Amino acid sequence: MKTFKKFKISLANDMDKEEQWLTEMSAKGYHCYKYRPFTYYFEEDPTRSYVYQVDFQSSNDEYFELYKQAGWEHVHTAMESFHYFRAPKDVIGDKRIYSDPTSIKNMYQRMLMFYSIIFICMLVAQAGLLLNWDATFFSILSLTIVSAVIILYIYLFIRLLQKMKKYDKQSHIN
Amino acid sequence: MQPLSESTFLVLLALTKEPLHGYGIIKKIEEYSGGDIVLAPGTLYGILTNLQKQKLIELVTAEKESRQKKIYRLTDDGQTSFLHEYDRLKKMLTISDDILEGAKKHENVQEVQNLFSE
Repeated sequence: MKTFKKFKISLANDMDKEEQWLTEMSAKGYHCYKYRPFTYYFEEDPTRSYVYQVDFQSSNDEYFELYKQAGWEHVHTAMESFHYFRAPKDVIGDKRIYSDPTSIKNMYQRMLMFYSIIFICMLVAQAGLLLNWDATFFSILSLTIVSAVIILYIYLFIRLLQKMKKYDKQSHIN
Repeated sequence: MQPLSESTFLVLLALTKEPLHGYGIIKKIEEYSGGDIVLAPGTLYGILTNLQKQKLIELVTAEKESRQKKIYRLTDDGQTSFLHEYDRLKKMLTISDDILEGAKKHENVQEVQNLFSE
């Protein structure tokens, strides 16, 4: 079977776009079977087509067993919390891993908590940079990088909050 | 007490008759609804976590050892919560029925009056 890899950067808040991309690739006959940071591994088989789903959850054996019984094959787990699943399109139909907007909102909320903790840890770890400020080239370079990362995180938080709001609205209509 | 979400209500309903494991709950709801409602695994997993935190369901003691097939049952609080929501929904349906039937009666009265006035 022919395999290849593709490099792609995807932010956590764009999980739904990532799912869509993997599902579209699969429809073309390229099925993702492994993920390494920013690298997706595909194998070619034009006879199959999968629906891909990404979940964010603190998992245990029961969690994987439940998804398996519901027809979802576990493909990969990244950072212990991002779980990639897939299911044959003709078997799973229009079923997905979440069946109401409230549970999707809760997923984005968990993600927001997760990144908030990392963000705070990062701020604490980098506080020394400002406390021992000495205006050398190295300090300025570090500050630039840290500032860029902070902006990236703020962007991520805003997008996650928007996602939560969107699904919260949908859950009130229901 | 906050109204339960539809999915949460269905999970409690599935557990009223007998303890079940996770996928058993999905199957039971599917069976009760004649195949119309299939709860997704991610949605169920979140609900089971929340209901356990709120102590509305608990693990059946003998099954605690088995990590894959955890069996859940309603606690007394869970039973109370379910019945509370059941009463709330039933009350709303009764009110709706009264209004809808009332409207029908009203229509009938009008029809009869129309007959007589002709």
